[in-house]
Amino acid sequence: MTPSPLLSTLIPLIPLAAMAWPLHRIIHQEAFQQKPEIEVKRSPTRRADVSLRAAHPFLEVNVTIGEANWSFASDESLKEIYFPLDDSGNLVLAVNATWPKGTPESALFVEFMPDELETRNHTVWGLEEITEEVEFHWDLTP
Amino acid sequence: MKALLFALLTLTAHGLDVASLHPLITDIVNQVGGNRISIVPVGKPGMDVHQFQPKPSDVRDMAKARIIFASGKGLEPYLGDLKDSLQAHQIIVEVGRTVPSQKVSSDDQIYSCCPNHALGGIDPHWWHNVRYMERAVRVIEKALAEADPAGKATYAANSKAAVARLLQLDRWVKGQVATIPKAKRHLVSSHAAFGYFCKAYGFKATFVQGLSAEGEVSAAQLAESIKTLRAERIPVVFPEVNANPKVLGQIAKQSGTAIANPLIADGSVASYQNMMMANVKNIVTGLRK
Repeated sequence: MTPSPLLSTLIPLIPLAAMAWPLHRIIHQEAFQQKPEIEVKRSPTRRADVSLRAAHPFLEVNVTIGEANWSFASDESLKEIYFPLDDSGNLVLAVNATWPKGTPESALFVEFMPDELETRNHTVWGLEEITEEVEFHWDLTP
Repeated sequence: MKALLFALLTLTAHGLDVASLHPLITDIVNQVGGNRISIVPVGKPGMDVHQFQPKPSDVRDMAKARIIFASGKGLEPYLGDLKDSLQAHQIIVEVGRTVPSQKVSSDDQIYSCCPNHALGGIDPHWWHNVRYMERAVRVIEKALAEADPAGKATYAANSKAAVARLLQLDRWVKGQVATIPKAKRHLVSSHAAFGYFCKAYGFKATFVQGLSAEGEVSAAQLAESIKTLRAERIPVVFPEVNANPKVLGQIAKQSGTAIANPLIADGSVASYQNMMMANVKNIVTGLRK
């Protein structure tokens, strides 16, 4: 049985019909417009030495600035870090310290020594574990 | 490849070759480097640190040095020229580079110096704050470890020991200063070399000859100094080792102030600790009277 002349004409057109909508999208697509770039303002990065002096041996100390974290093992007392500091000269860091069980209330002296800026320090007092937020400020006006 | 080969040869022969342009820096580099380094002390005790210029023979002596340690903060104005004459394997490390610069301010000083050290200039005498020397130790440790990675642990241990000594020295200085009544903590010296010391240890500073140790003061500047000393009833002035004592003597005579034992301002000595201790002892003796 042979198909009718109409059917035999329409069958080859089926793939073309299937492509019609995608072709329409391609031909009539809107001119590509570049979205305006969002300017990401990055704070200048500075180098600093962070040193710890502990009254009692600690298990671990973590210093966190934003999403960056520096972990001091029990035998470490100095780390070189790179941190962002914007024009305000304000820096917030979190200090978390843990001491072995049975350690009496203890002090941890944290010294922050950024290149070409004055040293800032803070003493964290804690019993077994403490997290403290510390704010430092430098006057960056030339 | 050539530089690497050179580095290996210099390391295996007699340790890492370095040079130093300032005697105090030589002392500290020796403390951190220990027996892993061989140092050429171009700047020797007794040198005039403000006038020193390396001679061609000094440049030749430094030819093998991988690192040339300088004090920085503008103390060595010839560093630019020296850099031009270095070979590919050599670097200059300014050990005072991480120290916060202190500018010459108009609040507490009398200016009668050379144009190079005018108001607003950076005071290069950063070593008079013991805690700043601690920063220098870390700069030296890092530079040595980068040039000689195999010695990293040694440099770290030596650096830790040097910092511990400096912390002890800093505590000693503070303890000595505490014996001087607060109202008497006013340091009058020849040239403006003690700004960092005064800020760190709580002294008011008056420098009758500005920053330079040369001692050339005009009559107007001399009169201004005498007027200030009289007005502030300064009991004692401190001359400096290696500085012309004539002007200060004249100022002291005309203002009726006593002359104390001299201070070591420019660090032109072999031992940093001895210099700090000698200065502090002289200051305490002079001001406690």
